[in-house]
Amino acid sequence: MAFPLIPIGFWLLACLVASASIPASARSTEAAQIGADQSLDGVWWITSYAARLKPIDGGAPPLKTDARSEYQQWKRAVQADRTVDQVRTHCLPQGVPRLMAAPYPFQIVQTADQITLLHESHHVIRHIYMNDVHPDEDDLTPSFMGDSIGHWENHVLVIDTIGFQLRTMDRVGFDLRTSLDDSGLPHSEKLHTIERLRRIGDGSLLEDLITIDDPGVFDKNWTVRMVYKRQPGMRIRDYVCGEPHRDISKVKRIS
Amino acid sequence: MPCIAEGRLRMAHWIYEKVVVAAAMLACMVSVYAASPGGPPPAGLPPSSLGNAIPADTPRGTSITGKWQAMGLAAGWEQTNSMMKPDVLAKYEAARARAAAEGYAFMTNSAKCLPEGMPAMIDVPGTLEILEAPEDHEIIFLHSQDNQIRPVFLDEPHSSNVKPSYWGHSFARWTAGNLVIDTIAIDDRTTLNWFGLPHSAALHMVEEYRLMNDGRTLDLELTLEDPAVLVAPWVVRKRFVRLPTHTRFEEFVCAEHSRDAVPPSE
Repeated sequence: MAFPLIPIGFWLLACLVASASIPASARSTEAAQIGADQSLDGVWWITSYAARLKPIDGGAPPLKTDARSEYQQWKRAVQADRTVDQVRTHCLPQGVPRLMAAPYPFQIVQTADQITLLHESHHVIRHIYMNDVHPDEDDLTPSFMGDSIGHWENHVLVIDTIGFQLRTMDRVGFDLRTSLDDSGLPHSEKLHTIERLRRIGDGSLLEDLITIDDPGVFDKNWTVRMVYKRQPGMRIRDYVCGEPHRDISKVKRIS
Repeated sequence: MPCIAEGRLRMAHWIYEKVVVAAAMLACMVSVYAASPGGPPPAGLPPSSLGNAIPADTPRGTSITGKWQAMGLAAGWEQTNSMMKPDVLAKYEAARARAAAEGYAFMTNSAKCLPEGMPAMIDVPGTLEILEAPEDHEIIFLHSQDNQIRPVFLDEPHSSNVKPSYWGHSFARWTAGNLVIDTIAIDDRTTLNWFGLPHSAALHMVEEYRLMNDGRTLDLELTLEDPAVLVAPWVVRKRFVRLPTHTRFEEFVCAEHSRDAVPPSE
């Protein structure tokens, strides 16, 4: 019976041709729309601030021995005023996860092929290129915020980031030092983060589970959790280093 | 010994920081100087950018959302001598001449790691990204120069007590398919253009953005009104060319809060 085979073959072929002929932008638009009913758009503000990030399953970040020693050395240098945290004093982009822990609000804007995070803190812009791949290693310029690509898994936005630049006192010879948090937790050039963002509760909260994959510094991967509250009507403000900023005294602080 | 070592460390750190900041400032100055004429703006300005050919591989589009490459500086600054009030222009030229005589470049905001703000940021020949955020009734302009974020509001007309800022307060509306943005309350620390032409706190600016050439270009007509410094409303034009969707928006980092390291420009 060749009759039923012809239509099946025809439709398979037609389907292949049709899918191949859909422009990449249209396909990613469809992908973006999957999450439309759980849109992350709007202004969000962290519910509590901690200078030191802690793993979600308790304990301390699983630092390797050398990294722990470097971390303690840095903290002592800051406490003794022998150095300063230039990321903070010069309002440089904080990187991931440090930026996501900042006590200032940020806005999420979702467009067809991209999700953009606009952070009031240090006016950092985070571009999440949807359904894309990272540039080849040769084309990847290390940056403070790295290169982020994203996709939806049901209602969860998954962000994969690599390409963070590493600055340390040893390598560059001066004190511009990038770190994972405000306490100076170190990272290496192997840092890779995987974030899972989703609305939780009644939808007024946003959760970001950030997994730190950095075999240069940690014995194993670990995950930190951030929670942000939706801020209807709030708008991101100007942020100029050295000039007055928003009052953040109401953000709960955790030691 | 620890004290001496620490003192040396501090001194080395201080010197190194100054050297690094000075190098960064020098790079900024060179770029500003390369872009700016040796004297007042009219001499050596680039010709109108609107006549530039559109690259053949420029993508088409139907929305202003996307990344745009500025085609040079705005066209129209060559009218500086006739548009600026003579006393304002004389003071500006004197400041430039003084900077040159004292051996440093005329410092614009971005050379000091301050936001260029409005309207000079529009003049910067970098990458512009436009995001439409209908849920927040905003259109957001992202400028690659110093990673700046400028929101314009679709639902928020100017209030009578708006506080001056680098961006001013921008109220946008769609008119016959064009985006028209009205801006007031611009801090007078910003400048009219990349060359540092001054304005007063009374500056009022209107931008009209129009998609052209099958959405491959975004053409801007910018009208500047400031009776304190201009003899009449000044209209300049600029063209932006659409970039492919997943063009990476380059991170631009200025060591903010280090502006004490450079001499004042006036």
